Amino acid sequence: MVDYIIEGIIEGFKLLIGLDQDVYKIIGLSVFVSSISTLLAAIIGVPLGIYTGLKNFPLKTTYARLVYTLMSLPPVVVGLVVALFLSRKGPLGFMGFLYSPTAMIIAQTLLVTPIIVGNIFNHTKEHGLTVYNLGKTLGAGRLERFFLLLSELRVAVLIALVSGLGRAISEVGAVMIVGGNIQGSTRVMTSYIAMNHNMGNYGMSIAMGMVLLVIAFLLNSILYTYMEGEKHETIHTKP
Amino acid sequence: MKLSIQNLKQCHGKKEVLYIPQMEFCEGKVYGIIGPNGSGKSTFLRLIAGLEQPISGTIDYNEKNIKQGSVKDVTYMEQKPYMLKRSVYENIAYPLRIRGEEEAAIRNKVNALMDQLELRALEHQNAKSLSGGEAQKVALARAMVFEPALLLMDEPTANLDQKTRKLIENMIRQRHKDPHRITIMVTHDDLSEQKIFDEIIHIEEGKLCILSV
Repeated sequence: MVDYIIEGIIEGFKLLIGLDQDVYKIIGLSVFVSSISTLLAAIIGVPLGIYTGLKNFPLKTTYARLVYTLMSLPPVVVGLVVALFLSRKGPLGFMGFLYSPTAMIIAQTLLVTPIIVGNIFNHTKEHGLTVYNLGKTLGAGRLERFFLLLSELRVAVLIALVSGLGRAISEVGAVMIVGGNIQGSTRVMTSYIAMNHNMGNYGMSIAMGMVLLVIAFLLNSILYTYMEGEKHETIHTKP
Repeated sequence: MKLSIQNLKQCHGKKEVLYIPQMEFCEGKVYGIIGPNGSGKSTFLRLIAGLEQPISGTIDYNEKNIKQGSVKDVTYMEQKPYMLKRSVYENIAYPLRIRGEEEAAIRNKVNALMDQLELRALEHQNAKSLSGGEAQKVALARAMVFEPALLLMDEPTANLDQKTRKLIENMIRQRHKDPHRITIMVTHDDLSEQKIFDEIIHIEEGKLCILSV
């Protein structure tokens, strides 16, 4: 069994070092789909998290519980719902998005948005009003206050983005259902790992697994470095 | 310039924390607000600053209701000021940056205040790492740097030593060389600071008690 794994690791290295075009295409598509999904989720989630964190509204506690529940939404459920909407008989079937990278982006955006909203909502709820009020008392307009808040919450935003991207790039359920794992079109790292495992091609699975681990390591390293820097840094434009 | 208050009432939950039937603050004067803990002093300042909405009544500043949004020449310095995650210099410069002032003007104004408040040595330090007293001084500089016509301060000298208190007293006097300004300051140290006040307002259990000159 151990030999099996070692052989797989060696084969994985060979695939990566050998610059196998198919492998790199899959990695590229994975990174592209997940990055666009995270970006779209951030465009929706950051302002929504800030707004709902600042505002007092009826059922805010229920809203918070709902967001936290959606943060752990099973990818297959999201995939299923998106697939139902995009299928030929579904309400959005006329768009013809099913089994395309667009469908994968839609599914992952739905999956990542609650993670970003939840993180930002939490941080804004704790410190947001203080920052917002400070901006107000110093004469900042609405937009300036928003950017001030964003600047003060930058670590929280980065954590939310990294968590979101991590979630998107590592999930398999949603992309498998809405993408269909079509070679050269919708095959991404996770669906490739699942497929090769089923076929007994452990080397290829291990190669992709290693790439996923490297990506996760890089993302977390960026976050860690930034957070460490924040502790010592003084953001100053020297006159 | 005038700040006038009519039938101002505020409740926190079901409890009435402040009621002021009528009051006027005139330009050129420094007002001190004193009273026991929980008497409604800070609520009063927060209402004027527009950070709380009253249950009823109006606060008019220059004949305009203060509720109508952030007024650019009014500022409020909190009892425990929040420091932005940036350097001391950038904290003080922030109000000038949002007003679109030129870099050279910003530099001059910020440097002058830092010299006055002996903050030069901390210029590049992250404001988050300051002590309570230092943060209080930075907050004061940040509030004064854009020369607001109406300055509201909630116990600005609470964490400061005698020397710095004197310094602040002088800065407020200097600020009032312009006769169109109003300063309202909540304080506990009624004895040591009475000298700078033109009028002292006593608030007790949310009611305005004595107005002494």
